[in-house]
Amino acid sequence: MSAPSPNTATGSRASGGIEGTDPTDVEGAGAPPRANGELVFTESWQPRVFATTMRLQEQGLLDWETFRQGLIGQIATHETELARPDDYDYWGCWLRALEDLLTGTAIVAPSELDLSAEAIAARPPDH
Amino acid sequence: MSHHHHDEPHGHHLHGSELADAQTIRAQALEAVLIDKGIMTSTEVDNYIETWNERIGPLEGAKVVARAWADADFRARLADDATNAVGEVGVNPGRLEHLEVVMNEPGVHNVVCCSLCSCYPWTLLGLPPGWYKSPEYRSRIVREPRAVLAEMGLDVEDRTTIKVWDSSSEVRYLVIPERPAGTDDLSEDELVDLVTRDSMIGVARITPPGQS
Repeated sequence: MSAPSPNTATGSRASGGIEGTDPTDVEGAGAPPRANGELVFTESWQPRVFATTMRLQEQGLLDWETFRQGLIGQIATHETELARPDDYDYWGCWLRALEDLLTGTAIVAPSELDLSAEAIAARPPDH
Repeated sequence: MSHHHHDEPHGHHLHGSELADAQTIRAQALEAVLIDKGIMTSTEVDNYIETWNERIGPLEGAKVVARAWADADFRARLADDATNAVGEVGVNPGRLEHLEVVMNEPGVHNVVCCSLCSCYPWTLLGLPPGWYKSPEYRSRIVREPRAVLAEMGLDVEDRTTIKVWDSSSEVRYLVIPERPAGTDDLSEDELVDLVTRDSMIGVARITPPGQS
């Protein structure tokens, strides 16, 4: 199957300006879970957060290496806190790393995230 | 009908898990803030995910369809007990709830929706496309399927019956599209490559090889 590379859908790699920032290239401590070479998502928010991260990187709002180091830090902390291996939550680490980077670089204020979360939590369930 | 519907793929949702709910809310909050700031759009995220979906999700469903075309015995087992039969092509049925397949044939066209939310056989098809979750598709495909399918580029002849299958948290549906003409010589792997996500939802036909 001639599947397009993710970069073809959202602009060329050149627009991001950084070679090798596709997470498919990530190996080692920060590598996403995979099955048969494909990224594994278990909740619908996970691919959205993943895609959001890629968009921010393309727009130059997120430095991939900074993000990756943050992710590795989150995973390391998470692993020391794990009660059972089955509780391993890669995308939870990803989400925290992204939140930290965006608030740390003042792209987003923590209070904005809190307000938005309150509004979403208050929505009727079948929204 | 229970009221467990919510805007989530149910197949692997951690029911009752406060952690998962809290993460969903935080993730949605982050996306909403970035959209409000004009940093990105929901469509951009959709497009990115769709690209990944082309590689992740529909392939599992396509394997089921290709085997059903190639192996009449498998097709019969699929009709009888799809939830278990899909394991024969390597799909983990533990992640599906109850699966039913609906087979297109001359005179009968099947299409799937979830009129209440966005139930979807996502272990087979990946994440649902944005339009599948739209209020317009969910309501109109039930009331006027022929018109909606035509708008989506699929003209169904008047003499063909259209059956609309409304998914729920208990039952998911997979459409087995008709095998296109001129594919008798293809291997099962080659057949897999022909099967599209939309054909397995029932909103498209499969393009015969060489006509793309």
